[in-house]
Amino acid sequence: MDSLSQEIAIILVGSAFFLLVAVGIILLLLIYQKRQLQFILEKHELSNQFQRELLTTRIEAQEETLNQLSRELHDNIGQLLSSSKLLIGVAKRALTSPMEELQLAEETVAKAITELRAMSKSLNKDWLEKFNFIENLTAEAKRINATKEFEMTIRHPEIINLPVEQQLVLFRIVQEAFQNSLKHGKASHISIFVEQRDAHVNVRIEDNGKGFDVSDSSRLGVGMINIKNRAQMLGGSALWQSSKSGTAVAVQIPTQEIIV
Amino acid sequence: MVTVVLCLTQISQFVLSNIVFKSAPLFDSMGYVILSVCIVIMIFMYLHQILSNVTEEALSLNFDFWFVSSQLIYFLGSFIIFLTFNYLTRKILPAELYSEENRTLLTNLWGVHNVLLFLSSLLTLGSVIWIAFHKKLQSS
Repeated sequence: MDSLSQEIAIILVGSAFFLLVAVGIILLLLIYQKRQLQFILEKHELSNQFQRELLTTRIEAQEETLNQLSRELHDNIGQLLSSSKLLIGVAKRALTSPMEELQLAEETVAKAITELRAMSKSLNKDWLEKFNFIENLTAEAKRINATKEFEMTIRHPEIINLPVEQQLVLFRIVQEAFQNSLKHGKASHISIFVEQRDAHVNVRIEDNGKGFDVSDSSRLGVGMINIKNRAQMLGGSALWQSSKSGTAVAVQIPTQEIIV
Repeated sequence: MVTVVLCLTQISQFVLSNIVFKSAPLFDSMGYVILSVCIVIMIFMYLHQILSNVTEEALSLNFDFWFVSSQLIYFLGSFIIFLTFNYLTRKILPAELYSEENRTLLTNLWGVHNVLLFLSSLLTLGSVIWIAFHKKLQSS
């Protein structure tokens, strides 16, 4: 009896040891997996941060190029056109009966100066930052509509709640989208719908252009890549829908996202 | 491949013990030990696979993991009981050693095995409830 009791006691101790081993293995696995998961998440976060920084740098470089272009247009070509207008005026005054063509030339140059200034402003970051997204969009629509070749309509709220930097990036997205519509889609009418709902700003740009095959990745142009990158930088998304009767770009930007 | 070998070992042991040699109707320690070893090896293979392929899904929300863990607790915890139960039964069977006290001791030992089985089942059930609760919490 005693010997059996002793044997059973040893068996129980052995079983308890094996049980502890099993529980230990399970706990170690859970802890190890949790740490690994944390490591993977941190790696993803770092990679995302790096991508965002890369995007920000690229977009800053683009902004700088646009600024430079804007300055060149304003200071160089703008000055040349102003001089030309001045010379035409001088020539007009020197003539007792100025030709009708000279009058027309002066008006054309004046129109060119006005359009060039508007374009220069729409490219200049410092100028755009003085106004909000809606004001810039309205000015851009006015500029496009002034050409009489295209028509742009906008439906928008009074104001959108986004930081100034993000409003500028969003404006660049819209600019890029309608430039694509005019340049590649050969559109004559563009509609822009802006709305702020819940924690998102939604912008939809629709045109009546010739459309393109959205599923064909080889058709993904620089403009589309820029739109995607900018939307991604703001933590949002850009989606295209296209048919033979036109293209629509839906941009969604979260209002809570903090720009890097 | 390893799984097939382990299953074949188990089937061979069953055939040899119960059909070819027709052993005495006592607890089949050898059979249970081979079964436990096979299952524990397969469990370790599964756990190794989990360690080498860390996914983004938390392990605590994986039912397979909890089921395998409960089996590990049962088979590893009961291993020594399986190994020695036939020996202990044979030891108390002779008339001069047989007593109610010895029988009760063996019954209690088997009771410990039953507790382990209960614990492992409880762990499986708990994991099902925990995962369902967590999914419901996430969806709401």
